Amino acid sequence: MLFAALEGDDIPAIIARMKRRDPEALEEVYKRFGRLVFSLILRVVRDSAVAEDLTQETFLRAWNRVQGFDGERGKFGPWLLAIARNRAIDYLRSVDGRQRHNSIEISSSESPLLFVSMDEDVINSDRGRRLKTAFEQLNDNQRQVMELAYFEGLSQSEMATKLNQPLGTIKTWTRAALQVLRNALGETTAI
Amino acid sequence: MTNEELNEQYELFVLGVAEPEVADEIREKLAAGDPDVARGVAMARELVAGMALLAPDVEPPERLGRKIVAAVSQEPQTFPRWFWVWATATALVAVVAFNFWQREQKKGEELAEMRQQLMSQGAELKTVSQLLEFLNEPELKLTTFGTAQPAPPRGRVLVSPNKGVLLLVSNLPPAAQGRIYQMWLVPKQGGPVPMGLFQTTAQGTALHVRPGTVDLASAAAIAVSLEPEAGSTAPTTTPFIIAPVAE
Repeated sequence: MLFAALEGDDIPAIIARMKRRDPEALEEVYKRFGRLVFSLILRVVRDSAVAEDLTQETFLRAWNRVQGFDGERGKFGPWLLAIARNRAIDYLRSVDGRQRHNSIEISSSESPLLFVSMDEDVINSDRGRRLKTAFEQLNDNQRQVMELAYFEGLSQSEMATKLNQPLGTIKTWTRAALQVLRNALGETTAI
Repeated sequence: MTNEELNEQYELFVLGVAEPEVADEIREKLAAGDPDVARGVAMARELVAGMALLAPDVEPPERLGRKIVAAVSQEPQTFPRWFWVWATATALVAVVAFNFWQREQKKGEELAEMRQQLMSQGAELKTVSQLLEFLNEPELKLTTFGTAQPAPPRGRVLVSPNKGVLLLVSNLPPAAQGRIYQMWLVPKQGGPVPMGLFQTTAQGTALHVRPGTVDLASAAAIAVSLEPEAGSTAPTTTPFIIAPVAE
C-alpha cells in the first residue's frame, strides 16, 4: 500500500477542488494519503489515539493552507508528509519539554513553496522500495541516527547526549547513513 | 563552512535538526542564490520526502476519514473567483439588455403613437378636403335641424347631387357600447336608404360624409337613428334627427 502511486495525474484537479472548498476532494486526498500520514505520525508519537488526532490536524492544516499551494507545480504528498512530521515532532517536544531551538526550521519546512520542482515520483513505487532496501542495509548505529533525526527531530548534538556518544561519532554515523540513502536514490554527491 | 562541508548537512537542514549556526549558514547561501547549496537542499528534500515510507505501515481507524471530512463539511461552500466574475458579467449583460429592450419598447410605443397621430391627421385632412369639395359644389342644398328643440342634437346637412351627403352634428353624446349612429336618406317614396355609420366624439360632435350621387328630386329628408353596432338595412329605432331636403 505504501508504495502505491500516491501522486497521480489527477492531483492538480483535486487540489483545485480543495481550493473551492469541496469536502469530497479532501476525502479523496485522505483516501490516497491517509494511511501513510497515520503510519508516519504513529511511528513518531507511538500512541494510536494521539496519532489519530494529529492525522486529523494534519489534513485540516492542509485544507486551511491549500490556497497557498501551487497545485500545478507543487508536490502535494511531500508537503502533506512534512506537515504530518512537524505536527508529530511538535507533539513529542511538547510532552517531553524538549528545548525548541530548531522550531523555526521545523515550521518553515512545511511552506508550500518548498515543494515545487520536486521529482514527480518522490514518494512512489521504485524510489520508495530502493530507499527502504537501503535503509535496511544500514547498520544499527546508522539506522538509529537516521530514525532519531527523522522520527524524533533530534539534532546531532541531541543525539550525542541521548546516545551518550561523542558528537564526532554521531556525525560519522549520520554521514555514512546519508551516503547509503543518497546512493540508493541515485545521488552521487561526494561527502 | 565550505560547500563540501555543508553537503552532509542538507538533509539535517531539511529535517529541521541542523545545528543553529549551520542552518543559518545554509539559509544565507540560499538567500544569496548559491546554486550548489540550492541543488543540495533540493535533493535533500526529495530524499527526506521518501523517508516517510520507512514508517511501519499501519491501517488508520475507519472512523478517522469520516471525522476529517465531517469537520470540513460544516463550512459554508464558497464559489471560485471565476464564478463571481462570470456572475457579475452575466448580471451586467442582463442589465444592459434590459435597458436596451426598455428603450426599444419605448421607441416602439412612441412610433406607434406618431403613426396614430399621422393617421388621425390624415383622416382630418381628408374630411376637410371633402368639406371643401362640398362647399364648392354649385348645386348644394343646406338644411339645419334641432334648433327648435330644448336640448337636442343640432346640426346641418349638406346634400350635393354629385358629391353625396355631409352631416355636421353637435350636442349628440357618443352612442353606448354595442350601438352606433346610422344616417338614412328618406326618399319621397319607398323605404329609407342606408347612408353609413358614424360615432360622435367625446365632445358630442361628428362630421359624417357619404360620397355618391343623390337625386334631389326624389329625396325627402336625411335622418339619423341609433342602431346595433353592425348597422341595419332599415331603421330599428325611431330616427331622432330628421332634416328635410326641400327641392
